[in-house]
Amino acid sequence: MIFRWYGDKVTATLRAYYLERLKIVAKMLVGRIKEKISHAGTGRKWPGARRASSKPGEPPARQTGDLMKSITHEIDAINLRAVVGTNLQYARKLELGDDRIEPRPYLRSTLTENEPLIKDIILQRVP
Amino acid sequence: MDAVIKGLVRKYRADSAIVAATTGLFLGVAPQGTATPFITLNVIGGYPWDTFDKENELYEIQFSIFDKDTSANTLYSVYDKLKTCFDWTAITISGYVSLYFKRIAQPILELLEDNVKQLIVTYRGEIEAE
Repeated sequence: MIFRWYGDKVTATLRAYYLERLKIVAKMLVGRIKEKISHAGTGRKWPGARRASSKPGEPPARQTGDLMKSITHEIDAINLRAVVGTNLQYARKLELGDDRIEPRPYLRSTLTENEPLIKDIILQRVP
Repeated sequence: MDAVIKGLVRKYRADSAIVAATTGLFLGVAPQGTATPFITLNVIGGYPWDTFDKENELYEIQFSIFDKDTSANTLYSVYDKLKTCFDWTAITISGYVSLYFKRIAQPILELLEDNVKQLIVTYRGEIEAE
């Protein structure tokens, strides 16, 4: 009887498969976040602002579209990690709030709300 | 969600150590001029889902500890008391059973204007309708 070891091939297949799944999840989250912050605000309209702001606890309302355009993702193929977010300075304050502004969560909340879908995408049948 | 917040506030008020260490727990933001250290509480996400015969709701809560001390000692001392008060705590919620309340992720330290420091602590909980 001859035994053959296909461990490396199996690992490579699984890595490639899950990398593709990860890319799908990251792109899906980018889309969901953009969708979440594309709405009109129901909060106060500040003097000089073209549009109403968001209410505390709600995702940020669209003002200039800069935040929406800045949402992107990076894939770390070696560690199979995806980072979804933005590099705009004020984006962090909107997400986390501070001692004067209540948070307008749109990043962590999108991740939480889409957990069931992420699990479905990741756990689809391996070919 | 109001019932969850009320349950958390009751838990805070019943814990003499954290009450003594802070000037208050505020929903949203604290009134301007509130002495530090204080804590704010915000609901930051969640979703409802059904099991076979029960309605469940998953939710996430952000506590922010604010302090003006130049060192972060007070901030982390309050954080320790917050963990003692809320980690895996049983919350009494009318009409619901609290399944769990657990801290998720590492705390985030933010440096704000006027030497104010903010330590962000996130919890996840789940409740089930009785």
